[in-house]
Amino acid sequence: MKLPVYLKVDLTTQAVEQMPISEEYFRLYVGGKSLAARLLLDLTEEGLDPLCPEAVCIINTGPLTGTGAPSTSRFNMTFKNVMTGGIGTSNCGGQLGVMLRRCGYDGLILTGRAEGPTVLEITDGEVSFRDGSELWGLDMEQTQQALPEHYGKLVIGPAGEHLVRYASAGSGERMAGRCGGGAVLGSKNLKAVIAYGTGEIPVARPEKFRRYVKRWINFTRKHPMTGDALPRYGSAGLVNKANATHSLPTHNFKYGHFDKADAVSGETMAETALTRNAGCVSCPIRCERRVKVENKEVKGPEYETLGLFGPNMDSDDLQAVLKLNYTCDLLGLDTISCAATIAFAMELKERGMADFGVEFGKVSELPRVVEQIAHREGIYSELANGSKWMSEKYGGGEFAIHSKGLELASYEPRRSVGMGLGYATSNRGGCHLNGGYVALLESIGVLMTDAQTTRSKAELTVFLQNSLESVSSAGCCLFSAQTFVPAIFFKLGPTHPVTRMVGGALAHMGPGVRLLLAASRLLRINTFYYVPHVEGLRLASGLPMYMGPFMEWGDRTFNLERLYNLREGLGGESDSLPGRLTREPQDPKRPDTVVRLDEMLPKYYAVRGWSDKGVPTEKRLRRLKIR
Amino acid sequence: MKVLVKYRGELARLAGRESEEMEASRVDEVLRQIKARYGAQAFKEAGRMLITVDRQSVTLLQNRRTPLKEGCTVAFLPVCGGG
Ligand code: SF4
Repeated sequence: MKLPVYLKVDLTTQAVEQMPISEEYFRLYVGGKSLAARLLLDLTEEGLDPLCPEAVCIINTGPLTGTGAPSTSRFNMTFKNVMTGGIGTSNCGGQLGVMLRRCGYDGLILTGRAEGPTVLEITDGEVSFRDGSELWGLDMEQTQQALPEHYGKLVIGPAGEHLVRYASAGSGERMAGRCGGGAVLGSKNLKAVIAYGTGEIPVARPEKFRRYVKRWINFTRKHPMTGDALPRYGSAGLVNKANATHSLPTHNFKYGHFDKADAVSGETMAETALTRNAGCVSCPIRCERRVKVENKEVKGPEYETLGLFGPNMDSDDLQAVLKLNYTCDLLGLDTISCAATIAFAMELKERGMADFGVEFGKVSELPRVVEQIAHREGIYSELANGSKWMSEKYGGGEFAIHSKGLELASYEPRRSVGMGLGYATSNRGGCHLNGGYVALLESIGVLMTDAQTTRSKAELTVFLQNSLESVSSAGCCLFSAQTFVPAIFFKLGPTHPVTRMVGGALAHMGPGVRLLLAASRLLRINTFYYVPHVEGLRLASGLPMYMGPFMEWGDRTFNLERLYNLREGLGGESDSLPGRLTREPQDPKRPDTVVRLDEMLPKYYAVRGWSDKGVPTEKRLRRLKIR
Repeated sequence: MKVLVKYRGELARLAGRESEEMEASRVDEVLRQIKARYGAQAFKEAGRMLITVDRQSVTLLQNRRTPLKEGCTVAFLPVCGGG
């Protein structure tokens, strides 16, 4: 079993040191966001400013990164969340993770602050610091073009340089979008990290792994979701779907349905703007949309961006969304937080509480606004702080759509109440993925359980949160987890009686899921058709990884992140949503169209084995071997 | 009842059109007419799509038994995913 080796880099002193990971940590935390959460807890003091020199940023990989298994070009960034003050993580595609591993490193631990703009370069075993002054001020695309070809890169744009709280970092055209990782790198004067390696990526059982990967790729290609729907429409295909179930945020989450949504849907994009689809390295799914913006072929928007720059601003202008998406990518801005903050400012204006020159339905001027946000120009510097900060200054906390300070993604939780619970409990703030993405089983997937009932939602949320933690930490793209829903249901369709029956039954599966979670340790089998990732991880890492330990590992990771949040002052009181979502029914005639967090949270804490204040008990932590 | 039926994705290809008018009073009648006009494969494809009536998912209404009103729009959309 090969243990991971990390590289510790102090940007202040330019001291570099190898840091082998102990076998104990490898067995418990494996890699990716899981191991990074452990290291962040160990290596940082409580209460640090996320943008101070002592803050730590971990860029790491999982055992599957770069192995050729499906959708495994991924690496992870972990740091103190600039938006929430809790844990910040972001899973990103691109070549950097693969190249780092080819250099013989499984992760980087960055601390300190370089004296001036810097590029950190790792070439096989060599580490050097280049002057990055000439790159400072360049956008993401220009920066990457100015750096050597064939390298894996992670760069920031002007937004990161200006410490916009939701600045992203990018690798190729993939983004580590959420939580402000770009600002963290900017605060360290680190314009780019680049790596080029020629070594082999170690796999514990190469022959078996190679055969297994072949099967796994075939399975991914044949599954209707990863083999057809995602390649054909990308995540953009969800616009019409979410609209049809009233879970498409509209007018700053006031409504969940937009009459003109079809104009910004994945289908319309495919018919009018798509040039081709593309994908990350070693990914058979190829979900990326290539579209034309002002005669240039660029990466198209994901569903979240379409929803939040479209209907959530009362806009049906597809070209404007394409342009805004591209502009945000160039500047290094998280499209979700950026769009949601602008929508909040639109509502402030509508109510006469503040005027940032932005209005619902008027999006043609927004690229200029976005530029000003990225450069923190004038009043737009305030929008660069996010909607929570803005609501603290101007009021409107009821309709500032965030949790813990991070803006919600484009799923209206009043028509997907389990997703509401997920948003509220997600460790990184209002994130659908860290929240378990229960919307997939309630309002936007093929298997649709009752979206309004709170029954079984706590159990489903915990189960999915844990599973996604492990998939991400293994080094995989979370889209690859969409094969969790068996192909048969896509073949039957959402209106087929069998699909409806199984969807309906999910709301009664709480006790079963709870039992599964409690007994997960005993599940020492791997089933290819449910989560192929587990066996792949076992063969690649040499760890005794089976379904049960895989789920327990996700549970351990989620608890560890929670411990970090608690240490930084985010406890049960921060498991919340704005009043608009918990008190104002989306449909005034249906009182059940609110997120009943007060009903779900106590159950959720109980399923997690936490106290009624949302604190993991000692017993729970010992069981998970965190203590 | 005269309704507008819209096809997306593979179904549009099989039907050779993006929309047409039909006489139908329930969603399952539309499905039956698709089978009669475009064959079993189109019917199968239509059955596994997301069906909306005036942009509302029929899963929130009465599924395939959802009644149709004069002039309403029935759309067949691909089931998608994301994250
Ligand atoms: S599914 Fe899409 S985002 Fe994920 S690895 Fe593949 S191409 Fe990249």
